[in-house]
Amino acid sequence: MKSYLVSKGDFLELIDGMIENGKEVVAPVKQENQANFKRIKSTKDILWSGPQTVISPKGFVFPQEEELIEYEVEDGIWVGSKVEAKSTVLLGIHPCDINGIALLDKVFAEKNLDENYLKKRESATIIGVECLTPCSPESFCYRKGSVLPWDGFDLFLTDVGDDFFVEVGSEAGKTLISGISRKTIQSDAKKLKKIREKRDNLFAKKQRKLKPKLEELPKLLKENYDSPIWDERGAKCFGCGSCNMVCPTCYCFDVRDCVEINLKKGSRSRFWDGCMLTDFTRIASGEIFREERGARLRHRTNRKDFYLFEKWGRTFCTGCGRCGKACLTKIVDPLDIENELYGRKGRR
Amino acid sequence: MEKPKVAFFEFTCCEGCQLTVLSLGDKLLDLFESVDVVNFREASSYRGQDYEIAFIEGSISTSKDIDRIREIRKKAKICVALGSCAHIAGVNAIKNFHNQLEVKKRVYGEKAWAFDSILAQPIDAVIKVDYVIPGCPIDKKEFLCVAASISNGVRPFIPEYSVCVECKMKGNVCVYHKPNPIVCMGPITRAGCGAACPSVGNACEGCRGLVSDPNLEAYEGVLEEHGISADDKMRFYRMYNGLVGGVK
Repeated sequence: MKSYLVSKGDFLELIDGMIENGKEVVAPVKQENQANFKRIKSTKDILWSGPQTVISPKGFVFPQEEELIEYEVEDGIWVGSKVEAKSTVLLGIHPCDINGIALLDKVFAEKNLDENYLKKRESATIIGVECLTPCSPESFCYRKGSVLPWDGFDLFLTDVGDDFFVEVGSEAGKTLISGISRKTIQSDAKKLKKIREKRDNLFAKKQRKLKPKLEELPKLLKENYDSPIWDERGAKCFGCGSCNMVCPTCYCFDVRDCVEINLKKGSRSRFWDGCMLTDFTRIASGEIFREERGARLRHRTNRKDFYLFEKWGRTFCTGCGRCGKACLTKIVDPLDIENELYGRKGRR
Repeated sequence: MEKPKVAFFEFTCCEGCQLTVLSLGDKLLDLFESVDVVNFREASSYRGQDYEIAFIEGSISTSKDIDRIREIRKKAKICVALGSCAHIAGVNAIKNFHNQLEVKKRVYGEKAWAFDSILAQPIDAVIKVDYVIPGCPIDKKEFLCVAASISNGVRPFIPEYSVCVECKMKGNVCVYHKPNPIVCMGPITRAGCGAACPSVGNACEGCRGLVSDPNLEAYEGVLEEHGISADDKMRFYRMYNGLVGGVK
């Protein structure tokens, strides 16, 4: 991977210039005592490190609500698909969320290419930033091997003082900084290595530990399919879906039609859905396949660290910790669940 | 295709849901294009008695209401409960949990005995209701979607999931997580309002009724954790959901 050095001042000037020219730049900004991704008017608005945003930035490539088809019924029927995107820069994205998008890239391009996702994804420039301190007490990205991006970024910045150490992930990224970058030399790489060692030590000390080995999670969950933990935790679950909504890797959606009141026009849209919701598995005749909250919790956990882990060879939980924070009854955090399963197994 | 004939009726309520329909702007004209409104007190003095779809606002709270709503049911092919008063009896049912004689006296004074007043009930306590548009007041977008679906002969979509879904989609900071947390009914309340109240920093008070399988035990644990007394808990539920099954 090519790397460069860019002075912070030059970089911010470059971005502010893009904003002035009308480019949509989205970045984390402060929102009450937390943060949210919003279109920014100036790089001064950017929140470079913690507190964490309430939800991940996945909505900019996979929107909460997205029209797929529109139709008109008047002297015949007209149906048109709607695949839209506008060029957007996603700036200040943390590794957990870059990795979330990298995983969505896999699933939305598997077999049936998801045109709506891919068009938005191709129109997005992702500029990540390394976290040098944990963003929340709930996060456990270090335990999920997610303190650095796996893939899916154009540029990745690390604060090394007056400059950003920039790793380049795409040609577009390289071109973007071509006017202000200089090649790194050995001493720069050394400096970066030192910063990362310090970061690793800090995260290892501050973040909650994952007791089982990361690569053994699929096996652990497989063995514990019938564990009483699911119903014990399920008893405290609202099935409110907060964990699904805040997750950077949840990608399920529902498709619904809406007819306009003139009955001449209508649209078909998709909406974020979640496996923790009661009606997620309801079928047309009314049956619900996964009615128990415990079974839904097991399914969600297995999707993150068993089924998709086995299928794609990577954990589908990037350790952002948002679900654990969002859950009012503190039952959903995957690390907590996995540690508990591991602990009980040990006692047997 | 002949336009379906539509009528609006009101029982005990503020008629705010009908006013919401009236404030649809351009879409109101579209509504009038696709349906024939024969009865709509907030909009017209015409009283048509021939209708297929009845939108019914308000709770049943007098014995006369019972006869009147049964007549409406006889005439209408489809009855739609409009808003929380019709759906779950809403704020009208607060009185049900007090001494009825005292309540009547407080409202009507010394001549209270002359007034016909019974326990407030949602309309489905008296008639079969085909569809519900929840909320206090109803949501404009949802009303249009449901009205269009019904006119089109399609089962309308009403979310079964909680307000938290829509609240999180917006990226709101959870009101339980703010520096001064407040208790919110979002986790057990039916969505569809776009998390209107939490989005402006207020608690959800459950005006759209509860989700189909609310985990009240877990919810009460959360209330307790936030120092809510048993009395306050009931007041909170009874704001809109005093009559909802499972709440006790």
